[in-house]
Amino acid sequence: MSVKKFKLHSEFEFPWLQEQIEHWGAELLQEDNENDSADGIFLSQTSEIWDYTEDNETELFSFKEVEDPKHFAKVKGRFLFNPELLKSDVGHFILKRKLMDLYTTNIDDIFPAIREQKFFKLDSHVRLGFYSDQIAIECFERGYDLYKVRNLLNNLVYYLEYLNQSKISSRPMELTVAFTDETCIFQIISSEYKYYLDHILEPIQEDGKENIQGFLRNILESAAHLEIFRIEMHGKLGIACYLPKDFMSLSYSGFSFASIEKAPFIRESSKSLSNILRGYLTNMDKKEEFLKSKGLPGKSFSIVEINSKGSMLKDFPGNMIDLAKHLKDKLPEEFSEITDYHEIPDESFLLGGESYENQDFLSMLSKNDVFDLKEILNSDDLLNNFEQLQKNSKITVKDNSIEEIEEVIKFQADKYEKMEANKVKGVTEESDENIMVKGSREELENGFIKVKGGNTKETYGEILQVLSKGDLKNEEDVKKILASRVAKKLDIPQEDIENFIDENIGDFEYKSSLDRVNETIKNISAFDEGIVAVKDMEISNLKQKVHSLETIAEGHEKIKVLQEEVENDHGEIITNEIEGFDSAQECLSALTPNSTLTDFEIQNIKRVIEAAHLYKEKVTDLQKRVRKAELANASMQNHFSSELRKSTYAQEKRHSLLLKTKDLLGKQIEAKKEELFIEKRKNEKLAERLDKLNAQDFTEQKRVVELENKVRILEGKIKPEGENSEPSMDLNSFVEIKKKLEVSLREKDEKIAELMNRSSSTPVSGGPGGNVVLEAEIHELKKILEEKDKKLANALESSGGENSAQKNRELEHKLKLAESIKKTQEKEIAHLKKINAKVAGSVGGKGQDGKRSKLLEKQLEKMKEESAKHDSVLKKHKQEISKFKSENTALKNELDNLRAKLKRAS
Amino acid sequence: MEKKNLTEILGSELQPNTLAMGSVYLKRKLSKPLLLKNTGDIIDSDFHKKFQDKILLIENFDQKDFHFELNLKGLISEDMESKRIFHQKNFLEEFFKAYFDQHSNVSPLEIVAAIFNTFNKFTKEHLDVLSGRYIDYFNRSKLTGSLSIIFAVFHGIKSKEVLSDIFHLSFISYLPIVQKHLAIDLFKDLEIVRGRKSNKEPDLDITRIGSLWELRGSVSQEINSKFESILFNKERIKILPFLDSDGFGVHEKEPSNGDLMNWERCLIYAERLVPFSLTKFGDEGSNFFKKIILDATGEGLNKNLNMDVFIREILEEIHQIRVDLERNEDTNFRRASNL
Repeated sequence: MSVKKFKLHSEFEFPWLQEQIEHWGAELLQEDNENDSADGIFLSQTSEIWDYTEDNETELFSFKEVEDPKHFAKVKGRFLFNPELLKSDVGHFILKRKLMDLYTTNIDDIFPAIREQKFFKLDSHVRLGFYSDQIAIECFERGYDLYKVRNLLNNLVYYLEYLNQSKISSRPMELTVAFTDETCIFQIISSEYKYYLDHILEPIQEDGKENIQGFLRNILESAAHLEIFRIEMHGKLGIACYLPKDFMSLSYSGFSFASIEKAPFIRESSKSLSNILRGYLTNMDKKEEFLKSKGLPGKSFSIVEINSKGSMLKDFPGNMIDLAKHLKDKLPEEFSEITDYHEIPDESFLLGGESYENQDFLSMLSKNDVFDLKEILNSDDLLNNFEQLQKNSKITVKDNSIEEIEEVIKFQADKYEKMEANKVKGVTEESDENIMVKGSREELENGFIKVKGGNTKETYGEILQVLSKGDLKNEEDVKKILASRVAKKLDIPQEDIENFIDENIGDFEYKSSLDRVNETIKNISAFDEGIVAVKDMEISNLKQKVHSLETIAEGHEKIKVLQEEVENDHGEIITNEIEGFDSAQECLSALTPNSTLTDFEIQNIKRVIEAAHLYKEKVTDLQKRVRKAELANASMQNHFSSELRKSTYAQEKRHSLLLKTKDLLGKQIEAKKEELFIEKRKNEKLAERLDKLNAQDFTEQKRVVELENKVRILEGKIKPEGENSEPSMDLNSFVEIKKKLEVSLREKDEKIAELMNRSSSTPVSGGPGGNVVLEAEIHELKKILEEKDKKLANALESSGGENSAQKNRELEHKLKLAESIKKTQEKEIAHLKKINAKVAGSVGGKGQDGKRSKLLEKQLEKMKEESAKHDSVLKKHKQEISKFKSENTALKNELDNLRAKLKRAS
Repeated sequence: MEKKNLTEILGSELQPNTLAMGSVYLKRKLSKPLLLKNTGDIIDSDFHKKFQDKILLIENFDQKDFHFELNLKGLISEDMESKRIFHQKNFLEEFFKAYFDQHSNVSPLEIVAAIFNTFNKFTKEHLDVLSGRYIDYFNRSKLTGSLSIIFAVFHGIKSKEVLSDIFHLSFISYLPIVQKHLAIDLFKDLEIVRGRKSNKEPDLDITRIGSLWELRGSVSQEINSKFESILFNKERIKILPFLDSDGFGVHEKEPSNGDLMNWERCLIYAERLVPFSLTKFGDEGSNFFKKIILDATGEGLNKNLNMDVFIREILEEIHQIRVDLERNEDTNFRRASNL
């Protein structure tokens, strides 16, 4: 990298800068050093800027406020710095960044003070709000002025969006918001294609009425410093602004521009039409572009660039037709501009702000476009036909496939072709001319040749060449060569040309004056549009002739064409002034003195001239018509292809929409399924609970019913009691219960007895264990029974019944009996034990006895098992007893209650 | 060959101009099924037309657990930024679930196909040029294109224009190279170049094929004219020469890191990270993206600080997604246990 060189005035206010610059590795030049070119000059007085003109090539730096920043920028002022910024933590680096040209996309490359960075990618000014909120919150937390933040963002993004829409820069806009301790930095980068100083001048102006004016001005009002830089090699445009916390203390805001040059040429088009035109120019098919096609309001940038090759008609025929109609209906001024438009040299078209002031909007179109437009506008039926066609071609796209649409287009195209054919015929009828179509000989007799294409200028040049050679021996050769050349050029059979020549100039008697003709041919160097150019004529003669030819042609345009032709053939000739003749007659008379032609021959030459003239006219006329037809056809085709594009696009869109909805539906269905599943699970759980509750309810109800029954029974019992004042029924039931109990007890006793019997009947006792348990059980049973008896007795006593007491006694008696039985059993068991012990003692140690003891043991085990069974039976009984007990108490309570009721009743 | 998950479908059920999610066979009555398309091949319109009435067997048909395509389309087409961000978040979350979750075993094709189907604007003519002779490069481009789109979404680019151009540029990028060299070993050579430690030793191993940088720069008029129309902004084709640079700025005209924008980095780093060895789908394995992104930060490929920063931003994002997801799972769990 080359060393930067700066010039610094010796009286410059900031002497430390000198040191600093050298410290950064740049060089300082002497003030009077004229040999080295500096990269920049530091101005010591702001008034110095008036010493420079717009041609100045060295960048100017100012450390003092300038009155007119626009002028400053114009004279290559590229750095306006407010030294007060040096107090902040970024000022030093702003200075360094500019002077050492350290512009990069990463802002933290140069600013070490940066604490935090946030990155945003913006793709349109429309969706800025979302991010500006985020950024505003970040800034608000850190104590920055929100108004200024939003103002900065809005102006930055809108400015860039204008550039985007003018195709000067492109998306995405990559925004970095960086925070140092004292300053907030916004840097926005986008791709750049042709950004010039001119894009700064307007927006930086103080009092702008148009929208683009004032964007940068607004930024300068909100930020302490503005940087606009290009990374030239790689096409990046960066804009950075600095917003310090103590912004208010600054007296003015500065800016630095880097790698910003003046545009080679630039013009701003201000007419409303240019906006309309831009609308037509943008491809409206793309949905994404809907913002673009609308465009931002007001003035916009545009650089005049004439693309002589491109044609809008080719690309956007629909737009062209629309534009033409719009011009005709609404903007008659511009309409006439185009219809009056003549070909003008490119230079004046590019630069001619003066001579073609009103053609600003034309600059948006290519030269071809202008001519095409003119053609369309001048031809009413072309316009109308398009309307007709467009009406016809409104294809209602419902569900037709592309093939169907293609068919429709084919049909339309055929129709159009037929129409065109008719049109041509119609024209011929009007003007009473017959036209030969593709070599039909019949029609050839009367008329002229329809030319399909080709350049007549060249054709005539060819003929000229053939004739000018002049060494042809006979007319047949001339004719043949001529015919072949013409045929080749015009793309029609050679035969036809030969016939044409035979028929039209056939009676020109070559044969009789062959030599003379040869001589004439030698003399004739040009043969074009009723002009005979003589080869051997002197230059001055030629000039004269050219002039005369001009007058013969009687058309400014044609003269030009001829001039060009002659220029082409005799480029070196046409330089001097031209003096000449008024008519073909004069031309001929000018020719005749030098030649030895007879009158007859002169007549013939005249005829040739006239014929050629007529021929040319026809040809040009036909060419025009063909051009029109081609134009119409091309735009027609394009129109339909655009229709097709639209419809296919619509279909694609519908398809993608379908897919999207399908996907969405799928998602929704899944979500629904999940919901349903959860719902189902919930329902199941609820059902379970309900079942439980139902079951509970059921038991509850059961209980209620039972209790009710009981109450009913008891009431039934009580009623007669109340009547007889004797609870006999009640007592009876108790007696019955007791009887049952007794029966069950008896049974138990019997079982116990049986058990006892069994155990006693076995020769060997099962050990004491089982019996002990049994005893305990029995004891318990007894206890329980006793208790029960007592209670029952109490109950009976309290109810005043004697029968029950008797029964009780009987029960007691029976119990006693059982006890006595048990006692005897116990005695027996004890006896058996003794025997057992004896037997065990007597047979101990002997084998047989061992076997027997084992057998006994087995029996013992069996016994144990049995006793266990009995245990369980006993347990059951116990449970039964406890039940009875509880029932007993319950009944007792109820009885008490009933009694209380009775008392009350009585 | 093992046939997994074969579904019988009518040919017309396959969408034209999409990628086949699995191998496609033609069902025949008397003989074995005939292989028509490999996994990841394009179902072009010709194929679609030809087989739309035939019965085909296809692997992994309609096995989509993720909504990459839906989210991508939402991301680029929604009007409201908040909705775009919603889709961006969903896309990245699914990306995380599919390719960063330890238990996941999702083929990279799933996201590759979604990206391809979303952005693909190539016509038949284009595809003939792209896939005709250079099928290996074409297949690799599907991965580089997808990776650069994933990078771009991570870095918050939501513009349809930019994303579409990034995608298509990935495919055009290799044309200048392969048009000049027909060497069979070129693929290997390119892998060597790609694997070099840094651009400070440029073109160390490829004297045979010359400077890659210059090759890329020589975008022919033919390519330009053929593919320009597919880009929203044809100026973006100027990035092609720089696809092999990694911000060191060794060549005189090569951009240094400070000259690059993020959308360019997405392209450049994706080109740098995807190996040239992969030729067929299914080879790359389900942890392809995870491996590439994790490797890029380590010592593995090259110690490029700038790339490191770029990737680290992505990893931070991934970490954030993981945290968010876990938190969500937590709350979901709590909600579920409350039921």
